[in-house]
Amino acid sequence: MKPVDDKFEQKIQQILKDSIDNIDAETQSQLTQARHHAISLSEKKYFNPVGLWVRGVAITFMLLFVLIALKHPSPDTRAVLTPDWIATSETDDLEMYQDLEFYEWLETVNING
Amino acid sequence: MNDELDQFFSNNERRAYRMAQLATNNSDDAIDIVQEAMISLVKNYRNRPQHEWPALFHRILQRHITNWYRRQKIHKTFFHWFNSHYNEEESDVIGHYADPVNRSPDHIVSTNQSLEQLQLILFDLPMRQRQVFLLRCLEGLDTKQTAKAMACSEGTVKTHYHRSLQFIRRKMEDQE
Repeated sequence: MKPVDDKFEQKIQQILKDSIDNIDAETQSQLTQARHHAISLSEKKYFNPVGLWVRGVAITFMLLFVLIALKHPSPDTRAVLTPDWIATSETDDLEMYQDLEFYEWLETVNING
Repeated sequence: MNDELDQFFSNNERRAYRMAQLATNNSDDAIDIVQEAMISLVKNYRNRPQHEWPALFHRILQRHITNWYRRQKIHKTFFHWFNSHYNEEESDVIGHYADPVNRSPDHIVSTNQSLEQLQLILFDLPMRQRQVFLLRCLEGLDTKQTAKAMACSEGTVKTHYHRSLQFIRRKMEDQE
């Protein structure tokens, strides 16, 4: 609180202080209702349209980035993106073909033998 | 949390109302402004430390009062007849007051007459000067706190306060 250094200021402050004490019952009741209404809002969760909008834009950009990266991968990226199972299956396919050739040869040997 | 908010508002609502009422010269608008300020504090700042609430509440209240002035300015620009509505209740300021602390009728009448006189003078003050005056005299804030509440420099507060006091003193002397 600031010190009162002037009689005039003191007089004005007294008028204002009395005016606060003299607030009528109807106004006090309205203020109490306003207070209860404001406090009741603290229990509700607020919908924040700005936050939602920002999140939406961020997610859209992220999806666009992923889509562009997948559509036009650089050679290095392609190497990185190629999963191990593709490499493994390629080797398996080769072995399977080699096995097939072996079984065909074995069949012909058995028939001839 | 709700108990603390309730306690804080019940300690400050009467002063906040009186400030808004003196600033707007309209009781209904003053109640609306106080309610909006309370809601704003609850919505945006209830999780801030409690010692910050008074300064935040002052600032929010001043912002709502300033917004009220802006809206009035727009209304006045487009609807000249709108003015008459805001002078209706001036005639019945004394009739509204009850006495919660059992003061003598003479004291109440004298207080209300002084308040009515002050209210009329205040309404002739420029908006910013009025707000500075009320923050200093009604809320009892010092220069630094007032500057923070009004988002301006301490020098501006000193100038506004000095001018508002001079104006009120001169007007009261003229009436006496």
